[in-house]
Amino acid sequence: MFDRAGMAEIAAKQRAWAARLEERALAARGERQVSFETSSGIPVRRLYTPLDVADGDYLDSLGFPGEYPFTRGCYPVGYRSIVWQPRPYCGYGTGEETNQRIKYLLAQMGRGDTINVIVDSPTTYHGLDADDPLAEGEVGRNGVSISSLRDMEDIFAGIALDKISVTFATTGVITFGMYLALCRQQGVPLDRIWGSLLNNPFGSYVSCNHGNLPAPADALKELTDVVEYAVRYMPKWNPASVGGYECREAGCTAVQELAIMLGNGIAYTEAALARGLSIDEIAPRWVFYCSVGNNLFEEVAKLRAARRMWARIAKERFGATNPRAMGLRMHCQTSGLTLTAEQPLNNVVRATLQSLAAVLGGTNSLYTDAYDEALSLPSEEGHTLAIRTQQIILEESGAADTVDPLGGSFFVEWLTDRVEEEAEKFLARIDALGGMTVAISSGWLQQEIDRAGLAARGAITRGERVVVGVNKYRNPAEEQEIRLFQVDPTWEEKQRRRLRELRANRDNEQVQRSLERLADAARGGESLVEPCRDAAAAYATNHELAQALAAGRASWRDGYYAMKTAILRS
Amino acid sequence: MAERRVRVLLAKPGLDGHDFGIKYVAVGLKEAGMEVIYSGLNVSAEQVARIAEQEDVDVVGIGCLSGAHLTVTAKVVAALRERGMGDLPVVLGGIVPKADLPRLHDLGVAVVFGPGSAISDIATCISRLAGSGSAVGAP
Repeated sequence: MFDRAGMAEIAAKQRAWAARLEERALAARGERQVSFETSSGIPVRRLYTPLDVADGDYLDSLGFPGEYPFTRGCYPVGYRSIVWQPRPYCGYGTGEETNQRIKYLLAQMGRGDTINVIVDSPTTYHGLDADDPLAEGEVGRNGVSISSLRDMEDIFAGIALDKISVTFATTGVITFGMYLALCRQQGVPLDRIWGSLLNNPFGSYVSCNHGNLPAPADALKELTDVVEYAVRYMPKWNPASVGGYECREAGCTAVQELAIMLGNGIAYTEAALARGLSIDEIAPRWVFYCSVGNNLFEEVAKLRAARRMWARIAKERFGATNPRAMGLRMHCQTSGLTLTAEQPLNNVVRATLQSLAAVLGGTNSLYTDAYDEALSLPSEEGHTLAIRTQQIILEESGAADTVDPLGGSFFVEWLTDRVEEEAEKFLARIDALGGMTVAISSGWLQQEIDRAGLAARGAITRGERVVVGVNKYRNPAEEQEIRLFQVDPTWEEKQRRRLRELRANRDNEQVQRSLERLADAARGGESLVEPCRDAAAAYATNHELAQALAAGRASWRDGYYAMKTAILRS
Repeated sequence: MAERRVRVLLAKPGLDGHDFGIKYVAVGLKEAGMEVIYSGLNVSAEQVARIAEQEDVDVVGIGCLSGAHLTVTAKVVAALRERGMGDLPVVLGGIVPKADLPRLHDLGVAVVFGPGSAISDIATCISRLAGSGSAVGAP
């Protein structure tokens, strides 16, 4: 980027400066830490100059936003015309409660058109209905309970489905099928349905367990059914969010998160290619998603590196020619792992800095955690302040007024290159194993993530990594009073009662027929989407649908649990 | 005569599947010299009691992040009592609002560890409970 003679002169002058000023300053005052590193262990030097980016070529490695290699952003004019979507997570109790909170959030956001529905453990992780004995005490606690289409109807009561973008934080076809049934019921055509599914089984395996998840090959098949359906019929629906996020929250570093995210993208793309779709059709439908941790500059570098790396993967590995297949769109969520139960108001600051990092990194969609999320689901106050955080960044800080504002920073360009290099190494290890499917089912990936997490926790325990309010600047005498969100225990009973009514009042013969059809499709390897939608439309319950799907595949339960605990046997 | 190492069962009953925390505690307690038996995810209360009996543990530790700690604890304590292990000390780790602490102590939980609890504190507490063999201990 800079000429040789100029570089030589800078180098010479820097040596003189080091001798004259830097060494003297160090001798007099020392530094406040023994070493400085990013969360991935990349050493950070005292100063960066043009010398650190001298080898780069602006046009090759940065270029212009909206164009290969997309380092500087997906869209040519950035946030000056397309602001990132604020996408609050929302879901608890029954559909009725969630509907109220959704409407509240849409009103607070001003633009009122994006929402992310989280679903409770019994529903999404275990394929249970709300009245299953195993679900006792867990219904509507960490997400909304969706036992049937009736709950979907309640969640979206009074909301125009063709006017909002809905993400479901679920995996597989069941919730998707129910939403399709709802849209059909409301007369919304497929090409007007707007939103996405989380649908990231490879992230779920290593982080949060789905007792119900099948083996990787079966999960990929079900995922690809959704991809195929979206490619053919639903231009505004993103069938999967390729993440990153879960692994980072389970303890891995930013570099590993980036590599895993891309590795998952590669695995999902290969599965869709095997189905006969083209790269130019498939890749534009991915949304990538990751966590945003504490190290602001590393997170910015990570997002920039992610775009550059995916662009190259799409083009060189898969032969993409459609620019939309190469331009990676990203959803970010601020890190839950970094939030503390101690001094919870400190989390406002953490979520703010992390949100700023996501914006400076060019994210396309952003969920800002509420300050009380280390303690419970977000309260209304927490949710509102999180929305205001994004609004203040957008309207008051100037951070969104130019594309890729940190582009050209000697440090940030250098760090983007370093993060890319390190992520390439981790991705190469995954490739060498045979890809993400092998990396997961062998237990290798889980152990890598666990080891990174253990190392990070060890650093915190030893005080090497400071967590303000926890291992430094503690104040046990002070109690920060915050109003926590409360789960109402009557919601569970209400849900159980409604389920009993549902089963009594639906056409049970039609339910049986449609479930048999779904089980046949599962056994025959057909697409599961429409049979699932039809059974959901007949008010088949979550568990009934899960059972029908299970007809088509073997349980992976033992292998899965063995994989999760490999670290304890090592 | 060699002193018997403290045997602790770490369990994740209920539906929650976030297990990094409990694995972190398991590794830490092993490094502190204990025998750690990990139940795995999504075990029933009956399974917890059965493993506790089969493995002859000194302390049972429950991990719960999902907010279902009251239900889950009540079931585990009942299952332990049913096997005549009502005196076995039980500790709980996870996300627990302060308002629930009295109820948990009434159910028989000796100590509740919140997020950020130091492994050394957990280990010391478990050792003490194992030594005293009592279900109710002051923290």
